[in-house]
Amino acid sequence: MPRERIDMSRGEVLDFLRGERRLVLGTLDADGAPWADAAPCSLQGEVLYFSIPRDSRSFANIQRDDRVCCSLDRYPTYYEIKGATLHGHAVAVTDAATLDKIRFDQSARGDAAVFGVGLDDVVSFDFAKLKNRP
Amino acid sequence: MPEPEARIPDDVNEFLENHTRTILLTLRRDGSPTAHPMTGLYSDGRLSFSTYRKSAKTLNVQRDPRTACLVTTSDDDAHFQAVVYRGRSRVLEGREMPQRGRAGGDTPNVSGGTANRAADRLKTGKRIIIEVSPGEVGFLDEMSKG
Repeated sequence: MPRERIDMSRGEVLDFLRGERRLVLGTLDADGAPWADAAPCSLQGEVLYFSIPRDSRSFANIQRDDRVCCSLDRYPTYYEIKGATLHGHAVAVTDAATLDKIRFDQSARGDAAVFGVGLDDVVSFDFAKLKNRP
Repeated sequence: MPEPEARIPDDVNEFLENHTRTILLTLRRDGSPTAHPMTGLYSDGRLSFSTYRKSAKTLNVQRDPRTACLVTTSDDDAHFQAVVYRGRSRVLEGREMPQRGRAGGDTPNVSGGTANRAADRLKTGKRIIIEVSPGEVGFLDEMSKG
């Protein structure tokens, strides 16, 4: 039997991301192995922005290879679990007008850089859509 | 030759025994990172995950076993903390999930029916266990500097 489709629509993903304030960031070390970090985030339009310290391993990794993933999830109860993982290239935000519009609930430690990731490659899930429940 | 395993400090060990919310990071076919929110089960120094044999994460670690995990408190926790657990994954078939070192956890409990179905699927091979051995483990705050 094929597995049920429980992914979110683009609109549902956007609604979900609007409420999120922290993400788990995946980057690549010099040897190509994955590295995990956590960062404050904010959705503006259809771009998810995150902030990381300039002296962090994640920042160094992005300077070398800008391929990242961003993971966000909620899990109040089993059948309310939902989440999304965005894949893409981290784009540094240096434009003052754009930076002024981005608000993070938490701030990254020390001197921080801001990056944005688009919603072109998203994997999502919403357990509320599961129909086959034991 | 297998890589040497990291010694896990006592405070990190205690954190891993008491927190189950885990983001598992693997590598896609093109070498880019991807992430899978999971319930991680920590026992005897190793992190284990139950998942489908045909899932993307299983295929990813079979292709390239290099793995990073972030085990965290709740995002809403005023004192958010996380442990980075990096290592190599292997796929275990026909096994039961190991027992937790301690009772507890901070991810939602599944119903008895859901737990029993997952256990049956481990027995039949529809589900497998991804087990990660410790290569580099510590609190994120202490490891995140470049």
